[in-house]
Parts: sequence; structure tokens; C-alpha cells
Amino acid sequence: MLVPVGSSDPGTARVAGRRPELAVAVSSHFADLERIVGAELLERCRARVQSIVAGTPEAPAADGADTDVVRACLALTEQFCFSAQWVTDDQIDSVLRYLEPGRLFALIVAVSLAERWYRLTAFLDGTSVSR
Amino acid sequence: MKTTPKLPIPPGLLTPQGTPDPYQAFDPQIARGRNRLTSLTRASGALDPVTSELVRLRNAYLQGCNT
Repeated sequence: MLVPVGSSDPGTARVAGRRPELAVAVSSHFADLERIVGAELLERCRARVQSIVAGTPEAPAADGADTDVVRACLALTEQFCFSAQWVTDDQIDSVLRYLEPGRLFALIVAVSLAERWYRLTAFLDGTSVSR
Repeated sequence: MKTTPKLPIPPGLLTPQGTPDPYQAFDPQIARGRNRLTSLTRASGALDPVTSELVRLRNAYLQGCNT
């Protein structure tokens, strides 16, 4: 879930308070993408995005070692967050071995959405602007 | 400049500008969600037009978009 209901995160609370319709639209859009990509796989990628943007360690995978598809998707997620322009053909091909193009497209849209959401809420968390 | 998409876009669906529309082509549900977000952010009126354009131009520059 990208936008937890009743989140105590100050940035999330600010968006939800000032633009509730935007928080709902982001959450709904991400939920649609989750249905296409697959909840477990997208959750790992969402957590990686959050970790990169926040600069905090990521909780280890609950079920031990990552599968090849998870590793490929996490590598693409990391590259996208650090520099989307420099995502390589190899990184795309690595994911296409496991996901059909429609799922990969949805994954990229979801990663992009998560990155923008976490950057926005982190920014708002670090400001004192209240109006 | 002609570029080849890393991900092949299903043919047939174009934007109003005549370019391939991957959002509609891959899944109209994705396009609907994206359009909803775009309408909520772009038309909010929270930013003045000059600041909006400066942000748009900087974003285009950072993404290597020359159009």
C-alpha cells in the first residue's frame, strides 16, 4: 500500500489533510497497478523505492532469499530511482524474461508513482510550510 | 531525433499529438489513473503559471526531453 490510511508520517498527513482527493487518487492508481503487477512483487519494489528516497535501511524479505524475478525487478527499480535515463536494455530484458510487457509497463508506472509520492511527502515532512 | 522504445508499445493507439500512447495501449485502466492524477495536480491552481512552467522546463531538462 502506497498511502496508508491514517498514516502518522507528517508528509503523508499533510497531503491527506490539504489535498485528500489527491491522496485518494494516488492510492487508487497504485492499487490498480498492484493488481496488474502482483501485490507481493510490487510491495518489494515499493519498499525499495521508499528505502532509497528516505535513505533508511530496508526490512529484509520475509521469506528469505529473493527469486530471480524479484532481483531483476529490484535492480530495475534502483536504476530507475537513481537515474531513469540510464535504465539499460539489459535491465529491461532481464525483467522481460519473467514478466510480459504489460506487467513490466505497470511496474515502471508504479515505481515512478511511488518515487514521486515519497519525494513529495519527504519534502513536505521537511518543511514548515503549513498554508 | 528518432529513438526506439525499450519496451515495444502495442500498435494502433495514438495520443492527440500523434505519438504512441503506451498508457492506453498497455491498459486503459493505467491511463485512467494517470489522467486522474494529472488533472488533480496540473489544474489545481496552487502554483502560478510562471513557476509551473519553470518546473516543467527543469523536469524536461533532467529527463533529457528536448521537445
